[in-house]
Amino acid sequence: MIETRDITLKYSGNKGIFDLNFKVEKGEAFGYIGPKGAGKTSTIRVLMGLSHSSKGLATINGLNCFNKAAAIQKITGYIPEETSFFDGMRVKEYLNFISRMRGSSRSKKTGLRDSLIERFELETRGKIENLSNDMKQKLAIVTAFMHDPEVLILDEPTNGLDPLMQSRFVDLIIEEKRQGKTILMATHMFENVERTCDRVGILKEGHIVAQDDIIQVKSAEIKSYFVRFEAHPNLEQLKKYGFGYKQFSEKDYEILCQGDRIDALVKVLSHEKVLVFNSNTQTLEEIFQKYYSKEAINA
Amino acid sequence: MSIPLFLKDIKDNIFLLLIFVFLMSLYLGVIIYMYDPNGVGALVDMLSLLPVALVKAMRLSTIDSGLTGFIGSLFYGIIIYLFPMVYCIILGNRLVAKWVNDGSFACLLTTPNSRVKIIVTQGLYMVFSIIVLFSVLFLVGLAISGYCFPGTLDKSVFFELNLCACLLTITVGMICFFFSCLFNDTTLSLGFGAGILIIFFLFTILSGISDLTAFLGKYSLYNAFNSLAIVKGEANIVTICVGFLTISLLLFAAGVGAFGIKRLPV
Repeated sequence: MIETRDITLKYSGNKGIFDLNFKVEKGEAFGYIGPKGAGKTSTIRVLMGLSHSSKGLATINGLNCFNKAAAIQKITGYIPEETSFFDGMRVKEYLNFISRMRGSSRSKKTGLRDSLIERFELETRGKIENLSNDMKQKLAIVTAFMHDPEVLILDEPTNGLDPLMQSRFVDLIIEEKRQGKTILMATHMFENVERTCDRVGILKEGHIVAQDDIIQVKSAEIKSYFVRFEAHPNLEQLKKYGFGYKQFSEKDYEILCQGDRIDALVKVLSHEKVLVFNSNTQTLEEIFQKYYSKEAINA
Repeated sequence: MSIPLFLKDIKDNIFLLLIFVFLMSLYLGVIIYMYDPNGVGALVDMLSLLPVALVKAMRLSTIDSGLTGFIGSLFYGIIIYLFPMVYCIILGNRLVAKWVNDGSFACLLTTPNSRVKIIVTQGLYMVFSIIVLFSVLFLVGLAISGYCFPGTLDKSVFFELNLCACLLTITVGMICFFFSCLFNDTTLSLGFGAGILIIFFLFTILSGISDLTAFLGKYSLYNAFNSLAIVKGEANIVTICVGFLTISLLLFAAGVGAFGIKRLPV
């Protein structure tokens, strides 16, 4: 179980994390989301004992994250936002070294490791510094999972992975969750969280602005669609149902719709002849507009 | 101490150690080979051509006529400050600050080993490698002088020279180690580690030049090791050794303590 109580870590220029409180229960997957620079990595650094918070307490399985970092590492797998490996080491050599640092002998327990190498198609020959960025990320994944940890702390785990590997990673997380692992996944990509996490915490400028069930977050999502009509549409209907829109030309529109009102939008559009209907890829800022604007009002 | 990490340290730094073992052994061998049992007349003649201040700065103003004294002046005079100083500066930085600076230290901290355990391992490697360096020098000295001039070397004095020089170098190494633990940035770690040692070295050189500058010697760690006094039997070996050991331990503890509580940028 991961718990933070009022943890605060300030950097210069009003940056940092402030009075963070969240709890990830055993067997739960928690998505920790926010744009870059919101404080996700700072939080994880406190959890991993790399930084000590200036205020508050962070614990994993009841152990103090700073003082008991070694005991926590025994049961934890960690993927850093960006891993720097040792110069001049080969992939196999590195994995063996980390296994020995974990106190397991080379011959034991390589089964899980080998299956992970195979699953992610990790290139094990050659030196780490010559690997491409996605290979390095795969190596970080194998390193974090190879000792079958109970708790997983993942910071942008799919960074640099191609869509196929991303989906293999999501499958892995789903399997781990089924085995009762406790997972905290920090990401700015909503797609990763959508398929794996039960709950999400939304972080903005070092504050948690919302902690919600994933379904509720999805319903708060503002979706945007590009629509081309055959003829000039009936805008009165759109306005009446409260949909925002932007007009690009006489027939091209961008329509904004909250996640729980898609059904209403489909009904309105059914009266028109629609030629093109594209869902727009959204940035996290757009997705969490609701939370962000709420925060702005409170501030 | 973490054994796998210690083995990695040996593997990573063996080449550096071998270079210094080789260079210093070569130097020591050549000096012993140069010794003329019939007197050091030729060397004294040569030194008389140089300015007095330079000879004094090089600590060669008095050369003992025995083999042990000859090695004591020529090898344990200045060389013993310079080579190990460079070794300690490079190694000190490589053991801690380099990995913190490039972020790879995080790999160590994702394993179930406490910071203290990891950093103690790094410090012990420093001590271990310096002991290896001086053990080899001691054996090389014994072997070459035994081969060239059997029965001439005063073995117990030669041992004392090596013991004190070894402890001096461990202290020097701990200065570099401390700054390597304290700073997250290799520039600062190198700057402070090397800077302080160079100041000590300059003070020692300058203190030998004239009576006006002699007071500087009091502020230099290097002046605590005086090879001629050891050769002449005038030095209190126990005091010197206990002094170096105490300073080394304090620096080691301070380095470990500083590293244990700091925020790591990895």
